[in-house]
Amino acid sequence: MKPFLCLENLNKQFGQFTALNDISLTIEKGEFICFLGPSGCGKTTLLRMIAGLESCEQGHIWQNGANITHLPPEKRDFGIVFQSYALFPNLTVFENIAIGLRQQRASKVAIEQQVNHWLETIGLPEIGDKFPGQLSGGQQQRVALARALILSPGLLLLDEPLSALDAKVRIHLRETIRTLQKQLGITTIMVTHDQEEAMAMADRIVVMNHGVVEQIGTPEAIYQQPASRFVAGFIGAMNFLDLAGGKKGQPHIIGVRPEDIHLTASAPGSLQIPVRIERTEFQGPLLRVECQLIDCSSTLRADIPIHQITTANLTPGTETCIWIEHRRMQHFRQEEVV
Amino acid sequence: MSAISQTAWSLPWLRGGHEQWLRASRDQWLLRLTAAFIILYLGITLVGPLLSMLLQSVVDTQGNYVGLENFYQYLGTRSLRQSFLNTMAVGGLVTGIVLILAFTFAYGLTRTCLPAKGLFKVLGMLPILAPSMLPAISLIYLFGNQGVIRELLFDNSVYGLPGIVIGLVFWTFPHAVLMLTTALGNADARLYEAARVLKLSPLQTFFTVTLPSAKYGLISTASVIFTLAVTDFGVAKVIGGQYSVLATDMFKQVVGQQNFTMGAVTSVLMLLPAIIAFAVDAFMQRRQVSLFSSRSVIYKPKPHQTRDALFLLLCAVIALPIVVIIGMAIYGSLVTFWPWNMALGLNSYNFATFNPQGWAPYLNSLKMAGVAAALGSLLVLISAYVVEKQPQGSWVKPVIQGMAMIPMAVPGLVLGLGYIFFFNNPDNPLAGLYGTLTILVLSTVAHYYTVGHLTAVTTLKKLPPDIEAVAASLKIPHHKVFWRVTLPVSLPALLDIAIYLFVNALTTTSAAVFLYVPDTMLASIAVLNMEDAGFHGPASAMGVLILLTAATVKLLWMGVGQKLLRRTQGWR
Ligand SMILES: Nc1ncnc2c1ncn2[C@@H]1O[C@H](COP(=O)(O)OP(=O)(O)OP(=O)(O)O)[C@@H](O)[C@H]1O
Ligand SMILES: [Mg+2]
Repeated sequence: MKPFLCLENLNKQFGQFTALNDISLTIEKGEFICFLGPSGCGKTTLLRMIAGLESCEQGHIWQNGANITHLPPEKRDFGIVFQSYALFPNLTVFENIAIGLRQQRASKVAIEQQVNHWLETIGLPEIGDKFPGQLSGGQQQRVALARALILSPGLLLLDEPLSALDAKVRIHLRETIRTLQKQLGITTIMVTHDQEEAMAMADRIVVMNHGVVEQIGTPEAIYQQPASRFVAGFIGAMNFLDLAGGKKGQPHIIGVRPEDIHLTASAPGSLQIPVRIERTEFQGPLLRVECQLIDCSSTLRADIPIHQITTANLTPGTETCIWIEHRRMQHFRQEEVV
Repeated sequence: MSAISQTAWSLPWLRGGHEQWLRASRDQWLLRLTAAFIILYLGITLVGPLLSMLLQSVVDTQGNYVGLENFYQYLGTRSLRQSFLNTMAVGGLVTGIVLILAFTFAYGLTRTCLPAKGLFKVLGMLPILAPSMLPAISLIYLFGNQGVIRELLFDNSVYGLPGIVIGLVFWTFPHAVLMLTTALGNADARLYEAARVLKLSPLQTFFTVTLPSAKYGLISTASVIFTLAVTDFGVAKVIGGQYSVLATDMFKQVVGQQNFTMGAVTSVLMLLPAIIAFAVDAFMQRRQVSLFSSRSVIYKPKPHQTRDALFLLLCAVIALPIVVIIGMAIYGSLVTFWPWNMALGLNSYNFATFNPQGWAPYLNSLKMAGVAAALGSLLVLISAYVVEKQPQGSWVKPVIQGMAMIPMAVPGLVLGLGYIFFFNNPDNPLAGLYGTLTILVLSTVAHYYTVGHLTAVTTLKKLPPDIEAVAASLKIPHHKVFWRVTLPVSLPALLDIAIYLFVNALTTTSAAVFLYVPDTMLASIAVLNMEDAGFHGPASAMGVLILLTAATVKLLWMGVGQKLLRRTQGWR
């Protein structure tokens, strides 16, 4: 069985600027994929190429077994939702959702029934007669979602659909999207620069930077085995320790997450490092401790659960030791350090 | 679900770019064709005529290239050099006076609690609805040889510089008020609160807060007023007397002496100050940083007795001459035969007695203005749409935008002369247009293109940027989105542009004066001709008719039109 969506060696140039560099990627039917990366890394460009909104000069795109590389957007099979909602401002909510069906010349009854069904589904059964300008941001985005899904496309594209909303609405709507996506089994690609959002929603995350794919994997894999120093630093926090002469004598870097640093020898075979406490910061469930390695200048950040701090003296200036389990250490090659 | 078929027809021999380009969707092709049409249209109605005019200025009467010879000859002629200096003097004086008056007036409207603001606003706008000859005719009634209050001039003649300056101040005043009320209207109340906290005196506040924030508005206004003043033809033609300016020179050269080459040279000289004013403005605008952000709080004046009384007095003093000038024109048009038979009547409105075309020019004007408004506004909207929907980095966008900005700096007379060269050329397949009402429509739309274009672009930018992408995903063609969404949403702006075109088409003389034939004579030209023939009353009557028509249309738009819009624009 071929994958549902297949990107092969995509490149995108804007004049001299390389926005995407040799992107290859396969997506299975029904998967929820997030494109995650810092601003300007090419997420939107890649999404727009999949939609046919940007031309594709190099590489191929296959969807459902057909080569769609050069098809214009209206000949492709997708629904799309933008950060700006992009609702038609002079049409009612009902008409906004119905317009796709009308174009397909669906019968009046069918339209009525379908649109009402979708208004129910997005939890806004009463708002058909309102205009977009009379709705809150979250409501508008729900309507945009219904409009994108009403033709039952094979692929749903979301470009930062939640970024314009405030925190509470955002979390609520992301659950709605995820539930709906699972129910329909629709293959979905969402662009975001919010790592928490990506981890909460995605089956797999595609981490991008400067137009290249840094890593593709499940949220757990990406968090626990980041493939590069960039990924490690971008997703969650990570300390980097420059320990000269690692395996085979090569200089290499060790990465360790703040929550994997302990103040006691918790497991056999932990690495023990002498440090001096610099600063502590109370964070509620945990205490953030910044400390300096005694024998070199690097500093470390450790997150210690509050209940583990009972006896330890953590006043700034105190010299003590920290422990790191070997299996919690990530190894990066020196040249990856920028 | 619609099956996706592989329809890409690969052309292996066409590499990369070409292949991509040809493969574009129907929507893209439609966009390209529309863009091509707009470029062709502006090329024919704007760029072509201007280039022909420029070309004409560097050839001799036989058509041989002579470089700048014509310009040397021009500048070597004392009387012509004098006209150039005269024109600059007029431009400078008018700009200075209008800036002071309009700033005071606009300040009164935006920053004080002056009573009867609505009335002052209407009075301040009135002159824009009249052809520029009207104030000149009225000034002759007032201060001419038989003028009612000529004693006020103490034996000085109104003909010449004084008349031209007063007439132009009257006629350009509304433009300045419009621009300056916008500039002063966007004040940030926070700055004024800060000034109070710092205990600045009102005068200090004016110089540290008010004036700097209005600086760019003032520069723009000065540039627009200067351009209007140095290129206007109507006022100087009627009341200029022996005082020659570029516009009247050019008219004499072209219509009187049929010396088209010298006409072209004068055009270029008239174009220069306009282009310089325009360039200075464009340069200054680029340095402007918006002081008014979305966080600003709009300044609302609070009542202040002495200040409000003072501005009531000032605005009344400024508005009084407007009332007098327009009132005099109306009165003059109703007097049977000035100054011998002062009985009132509609004698002057019986145009057939004074002019072989009778009322036809007025009807021509209505027809021309109506068509220019309808076609022009739609064209402007479509071209702005094409510009907005261009993919990034496309060369089409700067080309259309650049062309759309040209009319701002091009005087109507210059454009009209260009039309003669371009369309009256037997080699031009469009030469048949010469002498028709169509060519008057084309020149009017081209002449007033810029303001419409800017309005349309501003409106289109308010639409969500991605609706075309969404439409494509729903398989809705772009032209359908245009009719269903873009056009209805832009309707108020479209009608604004149409009204603007209509009013200007009614009042304009400049381009038309070179392009009309007896059958296509316009009302504004009839004013000029009847005045020239010594029929002051009928000229005044026709001018008043234009004013009344323009005012009626404006009022209708403000009353009925807005109400109608409110019904169709329920979503706002
Ligand atoms: N049409 C274009 N012409 C030139 N450069 C472009 C164009 N579109 C995008 N770019 C550039 O390509 C890069 C990637 O843009 P893209 O919009 O894909 O970023 P993004 O990852 O979506 O960023 P953000 O999180 O800010 O939305 C950016 O540096 C952008 O400036
Ligand atoms: Mg983006």
